[in-house]
Amino acid sequence: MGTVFENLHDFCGTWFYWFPDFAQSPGFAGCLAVVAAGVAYKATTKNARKEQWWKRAEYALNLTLTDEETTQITGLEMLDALNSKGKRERAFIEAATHWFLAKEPTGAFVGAPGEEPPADYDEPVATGVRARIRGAVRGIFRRPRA
Amino acid sequence: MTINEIPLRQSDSRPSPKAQAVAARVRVNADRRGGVKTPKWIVALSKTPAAK
Repeated sequence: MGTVFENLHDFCGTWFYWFPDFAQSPGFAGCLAVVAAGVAYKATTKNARKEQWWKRAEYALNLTLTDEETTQITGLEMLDALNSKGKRERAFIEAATHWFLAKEPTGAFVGAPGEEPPADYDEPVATGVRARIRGAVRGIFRRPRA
Repeated sequence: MTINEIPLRQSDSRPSPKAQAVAARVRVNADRRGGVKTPKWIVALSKTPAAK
């Protein structure tokens, strides 16, 4: 142990000359305990938050599985209110909305009656913040000058 | 009536246009937050008055 601290003295040099003595003090042990408690608190909070998210998501999903339109919409709005950002949560929402977004009943085309959907109707488009900013800037430059 | 007493949707039933539009909005919002691309027809559906 003595060799270790001698090496630590050499390693710390002139700037951190105080560290080897501090590392052997009860204060350092206290600092480590605080850090460990902080890590444990963060992990517990994160798990609790995930558990709460799942409980809410499960309740919302159950509402979307009902036969009544208003209850289904309530469930969908609750899913939206979960404000999920992770990939797994997004996949959950995609699965929950899958039944609603099947194209069989109406074709889900929102154009005029009789009008054919454009060829690129199924193509994925970006809807993120960057895409919206880019779209807004393009819109400014597209405006005709008076 | 509790949630367990509400009848579940049947396998052959289809969503109403309003529920479909709301689902499209929810999907677009989730994709936006996740930075994932959404099919164009879903984005168009989410912008209909029924989705509001």
